[in-house]
Amino acid sequence: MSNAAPILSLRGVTRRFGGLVAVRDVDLDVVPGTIHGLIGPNGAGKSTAFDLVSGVTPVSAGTIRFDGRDVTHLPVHMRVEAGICRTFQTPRLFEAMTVLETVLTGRHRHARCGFLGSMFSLGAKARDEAQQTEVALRLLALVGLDGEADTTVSGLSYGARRKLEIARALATEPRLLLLDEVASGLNPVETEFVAGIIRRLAAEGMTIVLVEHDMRFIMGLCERVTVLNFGARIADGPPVSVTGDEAVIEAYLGRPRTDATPRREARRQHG
Amino acid sequence: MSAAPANAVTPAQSPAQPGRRGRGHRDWIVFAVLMAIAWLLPIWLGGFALYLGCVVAFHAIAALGLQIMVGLAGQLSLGHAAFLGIGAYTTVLLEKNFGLSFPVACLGAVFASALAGLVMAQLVRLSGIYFKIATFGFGIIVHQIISNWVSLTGGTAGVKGVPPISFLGWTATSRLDLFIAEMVALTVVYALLIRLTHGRIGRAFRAIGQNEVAARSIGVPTHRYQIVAITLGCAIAGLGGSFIPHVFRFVSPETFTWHESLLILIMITVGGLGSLAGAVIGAALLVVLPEYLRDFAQYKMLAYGVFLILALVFMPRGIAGVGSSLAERFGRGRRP
Repeated sequence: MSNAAPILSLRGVTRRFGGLVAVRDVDLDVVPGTIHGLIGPNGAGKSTAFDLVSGVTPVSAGTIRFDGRDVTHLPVHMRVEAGICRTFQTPRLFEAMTVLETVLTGRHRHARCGFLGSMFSLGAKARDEAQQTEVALRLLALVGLDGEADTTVSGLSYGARRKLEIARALATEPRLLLLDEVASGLNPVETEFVAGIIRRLAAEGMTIVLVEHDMRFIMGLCERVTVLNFGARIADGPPVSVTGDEAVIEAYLGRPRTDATPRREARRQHG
Repeated sequence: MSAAPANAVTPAQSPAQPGRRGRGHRDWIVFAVLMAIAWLLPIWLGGFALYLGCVVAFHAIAALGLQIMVGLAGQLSLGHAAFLGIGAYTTVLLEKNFGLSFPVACLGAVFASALAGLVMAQLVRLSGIYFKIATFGFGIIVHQIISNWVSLTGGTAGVKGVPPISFLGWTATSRLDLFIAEMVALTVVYALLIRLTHGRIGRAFRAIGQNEVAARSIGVPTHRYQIVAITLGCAIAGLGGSFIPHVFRFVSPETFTWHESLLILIMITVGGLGSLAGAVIGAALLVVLPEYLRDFAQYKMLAYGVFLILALVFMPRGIAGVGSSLAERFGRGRRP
């Protein structure tokens, strides 16, 4: 364990949906400036964990601390202000906007121009807009979409939509970026490109948490990995130690055959 | 990151710039053309056309407000006539009972409908379809109050003897004066709303209308902005409504039934949801067309329905959508 204080820290976090426990008593510490992977088989509770940290879904129990501050009950937009921003498993975009407008919308909390200012101001609004546009274009260049600034979102390819969602999240200037299956649906070239962006952001000091299916993607990027299964944490540590962990292998590949035999006998007795 | 030198982005900026400027500029060109037609055509034709111009103008103002609320921010209102009614009655009662001049009464009307809108906006906490149903209920409640509070509103008999618009010693004696007063209001509201939609607040409205969860995820306080959009839409309806007693020289509850709410919704839909120009064009079309189809007056609502369905099938983005795709095709053809 690194001796730096964790930027994100979950303690006993639980989320129930009726009788189903989607996330069960999870503890998690994310070290600032690292790329942290959150993996597990389908239905392990990874995306729900993201919803809890970003505030889309309220927790049933437990606490979430960000940068030493309790954010467990903050609404989503206040968490964005605190410095947490996320993307979605399926990109959620503003279909009728242009690519540039989308990123400008992400500048909402940093732009100054208010309600009356939008309508009546002469110089200040133009200056503010020019400044935000400059930031937005720089972010579009970072994700390789600067040539598409005036394209309408509904006409973008799947890969471009993923990149745009990253640029929009970056526009909020997060300190903790949560990326939900950011490589799924991308071709190998795009995947490598996105991995490059993630490395670059981490090198600049941003903390990144990845939820991912693609094990190779995770292992190549993350310094630390947390494994969930049936909502509970079953392993935590550097990628190498986690892939050798018996509980993890079992969660992904099932039990060895010797375990299955008594179960079959039990079934036979019933029938 | 924001400390990086500005010239780092100049190469990326130059190719993208012209198209973007075109988009913002195009709204203002359309504004200039539409307002020139709206100002000059009724004055040039005179007579009945001028009267129709007066009816179009207050509908266009109300439709612009509803466009912000429904077309941009996605907060469907099925009772918008209530706010026209609150505006109309507040204006005429302040003028008749308190002898206030039109601008002051009009300000009172905007304030009253904004306040009523703010009350209704608290219902956004009802998610999904429940808010829409609540707006319908709100429309019915206001219509019932206007119809039954006889001592204040005169009940179903309405209010007669509306004094002419007067402003700092100037009195609108002719229909032309009234038309000019309305057109000044329409032009100012239209211009201010274009500016609003081009900025940060307008983008937040559109973000909520297009994907509320995504808008929240990037830090837009969605509930607050929904309330602002609804209140704004209702306040502008109040402004439009304050001209109604002057146009008809009479005001009665029958003007503010759900038919009227539906009519304004059809206006912004046929004109093109999300487009301010579309709201103005839709208002003109749905006021003027029925007047030239008078022989079929009993089929008016049927005609509206057929018109709406045809518009949605053949131009889902409305008249404004057809216009902008034509403009894009034309613009692309010209580029080398």
